[in-house]
Amino acid sequence: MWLSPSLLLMIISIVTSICLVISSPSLFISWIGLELNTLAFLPLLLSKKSKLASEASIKYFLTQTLASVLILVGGLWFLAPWGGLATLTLLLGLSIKLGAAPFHSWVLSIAEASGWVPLFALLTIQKINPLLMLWMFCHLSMPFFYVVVLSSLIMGGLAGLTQTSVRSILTFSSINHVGWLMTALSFSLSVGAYYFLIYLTTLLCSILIFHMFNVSHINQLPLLSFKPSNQMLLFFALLSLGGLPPFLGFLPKWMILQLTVSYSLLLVGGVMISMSLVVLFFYLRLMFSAFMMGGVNLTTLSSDPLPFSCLLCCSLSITGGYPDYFL
Amino acid sequence: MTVDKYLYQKISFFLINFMLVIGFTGVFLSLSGVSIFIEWFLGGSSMNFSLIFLFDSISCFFLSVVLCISANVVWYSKSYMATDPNANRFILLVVGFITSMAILIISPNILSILLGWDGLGLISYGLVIYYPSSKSSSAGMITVLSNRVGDVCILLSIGWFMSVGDFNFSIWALLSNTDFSIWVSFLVMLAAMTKSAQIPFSAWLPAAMAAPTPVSALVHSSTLVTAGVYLLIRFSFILGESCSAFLMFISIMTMFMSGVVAIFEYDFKKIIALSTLSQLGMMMFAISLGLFEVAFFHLLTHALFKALLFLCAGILIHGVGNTQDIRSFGSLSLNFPLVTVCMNLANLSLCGVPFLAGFYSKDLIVELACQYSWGIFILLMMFVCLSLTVLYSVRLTYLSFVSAYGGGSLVSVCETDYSLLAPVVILSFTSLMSGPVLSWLSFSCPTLIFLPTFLKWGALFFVVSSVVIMVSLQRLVYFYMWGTVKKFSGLMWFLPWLTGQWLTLNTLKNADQFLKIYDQGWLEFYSSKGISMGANSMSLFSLKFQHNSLKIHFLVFLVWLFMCLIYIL
Repeated sequence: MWLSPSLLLMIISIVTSICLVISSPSLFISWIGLELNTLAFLPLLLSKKSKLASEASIKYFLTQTLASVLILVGGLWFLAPWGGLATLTLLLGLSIKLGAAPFHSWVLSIAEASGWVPLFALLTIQKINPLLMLWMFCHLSMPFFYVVVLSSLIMGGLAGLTQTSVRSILTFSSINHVGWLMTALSFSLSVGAYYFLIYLTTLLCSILIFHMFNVSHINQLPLLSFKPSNQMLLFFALLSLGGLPPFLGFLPKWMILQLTVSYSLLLVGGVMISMSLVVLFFYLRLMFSAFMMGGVNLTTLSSDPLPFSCLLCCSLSITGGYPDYFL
Repeated sequence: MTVDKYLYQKISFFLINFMLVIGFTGVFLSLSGVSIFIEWFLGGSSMNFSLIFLFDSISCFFLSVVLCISANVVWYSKSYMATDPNANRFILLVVGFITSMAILIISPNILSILLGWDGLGLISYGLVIYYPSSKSSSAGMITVLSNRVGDVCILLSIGWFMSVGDFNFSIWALLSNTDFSIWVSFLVMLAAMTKSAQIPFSAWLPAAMAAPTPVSALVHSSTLVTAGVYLLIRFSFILGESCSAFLMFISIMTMFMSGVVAIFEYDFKKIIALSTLSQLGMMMFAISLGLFEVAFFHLLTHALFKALLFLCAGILIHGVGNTQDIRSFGSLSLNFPLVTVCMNLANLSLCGVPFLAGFYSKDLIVELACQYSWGIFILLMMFVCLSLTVLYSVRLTYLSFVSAYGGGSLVSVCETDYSLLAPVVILSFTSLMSGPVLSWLSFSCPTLIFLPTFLKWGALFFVVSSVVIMVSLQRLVYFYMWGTVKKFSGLMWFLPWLTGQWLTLNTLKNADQFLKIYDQGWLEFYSSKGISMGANSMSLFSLKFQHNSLKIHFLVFLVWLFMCLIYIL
């Protein structure tokens, strides 16, 4: 299904848009890349063919267009003598595109309505372009930037506490991660790219497992496969996403914390640490219901083993950090 | 049933050999004035972590005395514990105890002192609760908890050591006039007070007599209780004026209290325990006067004759049928001639009769104390305590050897077991010779005593007069009709009740209130539950904007935009 010509065209368009944004020296060509990205992603959202999916795609389109308008206006104001205002509007528009708080409210309803693969693309690939533009065109040391970062961290942590749907939990964790990503980007591009790649890997691992088991809600977790090995796999994948030490997800967080402290951004560092605890809590809560309330044999069917790709990806996420620790 | 038939003898032989090696090393070190430090440096940049063993004349002499006593006690316990089914546990505990004491003696590093100290406390608990009775169990609890207070003080003092940068106590010799050295001296003094059972903490020593007699001989007469005194001797250069004054008061009170209580006590081992307490008070008194070498000398001689006293007591108790009440003793000198001789030796040594061991050490303390000008009350109390010592010792001797036999009819009283007698004889020879020998070895030249005549004769006068008083009082029955005084002294001046039941009852009542109202009540509301409820309510509030209405989302964006525009412009 994913190699059907229309969807293949969309995937190629998204890749082209990323290339456009990377290689453009001016803001307008980057804006063209952003628009191409938005338009090409919409059919991916519609791949499920339900009313909910079309509603989600319209909401996505409208929000991203508003953000693009703000980006364009901000870019135009660079030519006028209002430099600070321009950067601010640009930052605003890019934050809306990213789904950073306080502009995060659109991501949740779209995430609820989409399948797992579009969700993965929404949460990771759609973030590449705005992040690149952030790095290229904004001064990342203005006060509003830190407002966005701090509110992303806090909102992503606290608002996820009362969520029960797995998709919303992943959404709020991605809002939290946007905070980390933007901080990483403010230090240097390579740090941001490193964090992004590892975030992509760990999120891929988690989403793959949720997709395999077709889990959408927290009360479906006790009905997971009866083999403890599968439950442990999900557990470790989530812990890696949350950034717990022996797993892969800890490395970029450590790096960013060290950079934060060495640049004396202590408030941001403190908020990062406390909110990552909150995020880890709601991952663990998912696994409590899987481990403690399970164990009831509902069917006598044994589950088939996980496909090899899934295991490979998960092994990367769980144990991939070991070589890097020695560097 | 022990694993090896000759286990006790083997252990005893090993200890004697070790003692001889250490003893000769001690003599060599004291004559040449050399101290040996063996150090393993373990790293550390701002803190110096190293494992050190210190062999100087003090530690070698003390270690050899401890090993001598323990060798004899192990040999003694071969026959004493022969009928006991748990003898394996006993010998393991005793060997562990000796090891802990050895670690304590040879280490100048506060961390390894703590290892030995804690080992002593724990193993003495294991030894006190050896017999399975409720009396032993409560005695063990009081012992270990009182010793625990001392452990806490040493742990606190480790914190002070960390502020200085080295765990070796001799670092304080370089810093003894800083502001915070008073904390270390106070904490160490408190720890020594708990271990050596001075006044607030003296409830455990008579109670710990629930242990078997060899344990009392080893632990509660010479090694465990002298660990506190030894620690104070090691930290001698840091005890300042205020600490010494406090210690003097406490030690005088302890001496007095234990002397008075011992006169009215009827349990044989408790009398000896109280006499140990009184002599510990004497040692602490010497330390508070600044006479550290003399206190050490008294420590060594006291250890030897007190162990001897306990071993003789064990033979007598075994002989009259395992009862410890001295009202059932009497006229035992006819049946236990050798034990009588040794016990009299020990008692006269305790009283300070000329040319026995106690004379060299205790009389030296008394005469040196007369030379200091601390006040007439201190002097008078010291002499009173001296006479109290004589009074209870004479009472003990009279009631066990001279007076009429008060026990049952069908007991076999005889001393034929050589395994019980040989240690007693060996210890009595050692204690006889220890007085002059140790004084010649410890003090390179005799101390100069300059006293007026009446003070010089004072000690001897008090001793002789007390002997006369007690012998005559024993012939009178009416002395023991003072009901109130008897009750007061019999309950040990209410100290065990005060530091035991009263204290814990009131503290537990308050603690219960704290638990119910604060810990499980308001503190929960304000800290953990409150924060989780607050976070949840914040998250629920933020979900109010998720009502699927795109207009609200865009309005929020535009509101933020306007706010920022207003801020910028």
